[in-house]
Amino acid sequence: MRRVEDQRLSTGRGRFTADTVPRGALYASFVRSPHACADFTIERQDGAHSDFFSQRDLDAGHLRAIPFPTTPSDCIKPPRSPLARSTARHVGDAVAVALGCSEREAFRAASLVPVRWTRLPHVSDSILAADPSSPLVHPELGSNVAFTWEARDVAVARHFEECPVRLRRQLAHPRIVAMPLEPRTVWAAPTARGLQVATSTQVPHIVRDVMAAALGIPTSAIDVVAGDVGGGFGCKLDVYPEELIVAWLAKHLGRPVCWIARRTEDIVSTSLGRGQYGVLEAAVSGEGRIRALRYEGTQDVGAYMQLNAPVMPMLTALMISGCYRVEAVDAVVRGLYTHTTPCGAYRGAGRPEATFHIETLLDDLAAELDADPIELRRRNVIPADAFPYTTPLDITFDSGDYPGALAELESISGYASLREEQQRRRARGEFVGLGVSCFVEMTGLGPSRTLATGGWTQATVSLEADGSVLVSCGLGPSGQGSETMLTLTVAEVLQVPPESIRVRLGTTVGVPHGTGTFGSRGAAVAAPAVFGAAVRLVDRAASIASSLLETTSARLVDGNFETSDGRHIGWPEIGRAAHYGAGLPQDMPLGCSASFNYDPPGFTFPHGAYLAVVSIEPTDGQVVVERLFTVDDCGNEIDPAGVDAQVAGALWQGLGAVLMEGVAFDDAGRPTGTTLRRCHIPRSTLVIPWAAHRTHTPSPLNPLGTKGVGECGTIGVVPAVFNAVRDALRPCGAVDVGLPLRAHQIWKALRSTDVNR
Amino acid sequence: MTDAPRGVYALRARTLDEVAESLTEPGAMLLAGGQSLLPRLRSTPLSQGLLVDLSGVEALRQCTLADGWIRLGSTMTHSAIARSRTILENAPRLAAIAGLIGDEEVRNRGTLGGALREPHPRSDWAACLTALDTTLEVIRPGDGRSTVPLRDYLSNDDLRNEVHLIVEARLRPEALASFHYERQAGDAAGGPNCSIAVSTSYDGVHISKCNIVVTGAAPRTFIATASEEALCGTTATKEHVDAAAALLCDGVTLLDDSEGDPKYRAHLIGSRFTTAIRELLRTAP
Repeated sequence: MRRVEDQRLSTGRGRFTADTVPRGALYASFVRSPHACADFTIERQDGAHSDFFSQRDLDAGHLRAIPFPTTPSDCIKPPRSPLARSTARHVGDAVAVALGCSEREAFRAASLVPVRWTRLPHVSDSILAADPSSPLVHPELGSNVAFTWEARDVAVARHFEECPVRLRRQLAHPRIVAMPLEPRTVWAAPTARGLQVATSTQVPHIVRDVMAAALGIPTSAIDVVAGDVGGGFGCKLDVYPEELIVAWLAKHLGRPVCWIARRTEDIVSTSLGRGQYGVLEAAVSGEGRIRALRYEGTQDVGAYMQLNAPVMPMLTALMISGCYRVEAVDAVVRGLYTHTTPCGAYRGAGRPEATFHIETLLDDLAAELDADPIELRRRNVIPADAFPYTTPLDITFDSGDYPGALAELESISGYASLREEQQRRRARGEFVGLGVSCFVEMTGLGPSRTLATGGWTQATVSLEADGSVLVSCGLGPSGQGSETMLTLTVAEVLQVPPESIRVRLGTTVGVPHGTGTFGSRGAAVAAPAVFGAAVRLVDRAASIASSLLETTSARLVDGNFETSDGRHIGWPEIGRAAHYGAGLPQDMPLGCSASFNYDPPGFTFPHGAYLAVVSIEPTDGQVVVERLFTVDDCGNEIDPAGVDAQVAGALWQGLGAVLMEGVAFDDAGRPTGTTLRRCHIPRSTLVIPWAAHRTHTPSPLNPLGTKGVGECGTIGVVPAVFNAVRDALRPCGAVDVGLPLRAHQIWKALRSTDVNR
Repeated sequence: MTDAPRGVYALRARTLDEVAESLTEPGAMLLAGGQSLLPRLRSTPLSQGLLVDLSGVEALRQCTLADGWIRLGSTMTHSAIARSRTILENAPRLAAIAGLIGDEEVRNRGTLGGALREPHPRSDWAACLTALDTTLEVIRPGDGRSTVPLRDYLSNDDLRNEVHLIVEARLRPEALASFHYERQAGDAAGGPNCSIAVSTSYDGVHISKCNIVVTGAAPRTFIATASEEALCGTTATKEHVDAAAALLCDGVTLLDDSEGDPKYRAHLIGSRFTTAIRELLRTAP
């Protein structure tokens, strides 16, 4: 089946937030700090009416700052006012908002707001931020440490004493820009009932709930519609101050108000991804078996705590042992405030960092022991018969076949002959490397006990009077193909053609509460919810059919409800009867719909194994990814074409992270690369053909056996390419490289050896 | 998204005469492919004036081969150059250069004239066509047609600061026989990074003339005149080439950004120059 969304999205018929701005809307433009840290005052002429709003006005208008629930709950989280009050804490921190009848007029009005800045010392690096002599981002806290989380295990020390091989690896994963095609956009309009809001978000219901609390009005008075969202990647799963301010302005002024982020503004004000630094140590037996791991991680929180800032390094710590059977893990992570744009979730959120650490360490270990990287992994992976497998940090992997994925990778890539080819090319003086990564990833967020906002999803499937079907579910997709996936799920249960099904997502209107799209929840949480609702709808329809056919046991067979004596009726007849009542007993309730609430009993764990072949041009340090082989296992697949697309998109996004992306800050703490011309992101020219394969190990946790796949590509490809580059550089000893692997960095590494001198 | 500019009038010109006449209007602006105008509109509104759309002027889109000259009309898009039969048959390497520029969208809209008119630190055309001794034909307000070598045009800020129409760029196809462009895609938008265009007159013994132009390395595309002088008249031994290479970035401030520091850039320019010269000597006619 062709994807339901593609026709409208690829022909310019998508309905994005900026496509739906009501006529007569005022446009808002934010005044943002050009400094990493500065005190400011805004001059107001006495008696004159000012054309802008500052935090003082928001205070007077009772717009509340809502401390968003975070995990762990003991984070040190200073209340964040929607606009900065007197100190701006990062370049892009909003200090005032101005209005105009058009975007340009608003922009001009904002540029006229008389802000007087007094620059203060800043710190843009999380390691420096830990130094007691560094400037404090929130002086009232007395420290830049935002949170600490640890999982201690004294047994680790014993392993480190006993094991003959010990390895230590420091790695940094720089901050990267999520860069959705559609920048953040929001409009709000007053209605008779309250507020109509459209916003480019992954979490419409959460936006509604937070907005209602901030404005002090009931949630029932607010409708939030996300519509089509032009990319989220995690950065649109926070509720941002701009959303609350626009809603407040609309309510306060009684006019529709719209804000569309300009590209540069979006880059400096939207959550950055990654931003971790870590030290991983391993204690390894003489046979190359990893016995214990010790991990210390630092998350750059940025200037303010976003919803997911603590969750990311926790996920890194929890997944640090990767696919491997390790006896003990000791982990401590902390978050540090810096004078930079806040960090948040970004495709993978914490798991790419964990995989990057452990997989790089595995390759170092292989080099140290002079073992083949695949063979060494085979020695360490969790065997296929060990599932469900509980890790030392008490995370239970639902299912998987890691040796199977490795074997598949070896076979599809022709690994042995690739190694031979590498030897031949090396003999000719070429720099060629092979890199492997094995990964397991934690999806299906999540059991409600783990999420402050609840991790369940509710779905409703309704049969309409004409026999068509409406599915509604609290997801907030941004191009994942969720409509298609849910259509296929329902079509199979109801045995109806996909064309008769409509799916309503990305809105709070007529949709039961749901926590949105993130953490690969679509297939792992929403689909089981929709499946459960569809199964119940069949039961309900069967009882109507039985009543109409005057039997007790009508059964769904080939899309019709049949009696044992061969009489049958179809969905349209049932729909008509259910809605109009004709032919049904008086006491039978009308309508035909069913809802189901699915709260996953645990996380799901898709996994895979990737291999990259790279070559390096020694004269300029350019890395060329020559070939990619991927084996993914995301359990059962509802829409295999959708899985292909998710893996592909994530692969290229991951290639960006390993080859070019990374936000740098100049001496004044200003991010460089805040325009599309200067910000390195993967472009279509980077795409090479690759061999994508899959294995299928169903999840036992849900009836569909699905696990979700949206983030796997970004997780697997970074270490594969990184390891390949280090493999290429290993003969000359220049393995001391970091992310991103830009040409000049590789050239410098080569220059430090004698290759290029 | 962007407001309609106020007080700006638009004219869709049909003939060269109409364009020439419009140049004398106060605030006249020429619109070719819009690749510079559109991004600029996002930050600065158009000032009042007359916007002259060149897309209807057939004469500017032509490509001809006559009297030993290839003449490229200034509103030919990069993709038009890349697929033009005249160019593919007579100067295929020009077509190949056109195919390297930006991405498909940019090639479909961006024009040769626009690329030369708008100073850009990463310009394939400015580097290659300068090395190929290209001459521009321009019309200035109230003036007839005149010609100016591209080499002079790039540094002639007096001319560049006033409104003028580039009618065409002309070059001799045989110049391509002793021309080499050593290019690497660099910046986030795929433009050339530290790329170098070189052409030489080499009789098997001496280099009698040589053009060296570097793009994507400094705030402007620049001509390495010191290296040109150092190499001219020599026999192009390794010592001569090395001496010329040492002068490539003489007096130029190289960019320092996410793609590399000046040291790395100087290395790239030097090594690409050496490659280019080696290629030219190897393939000399």
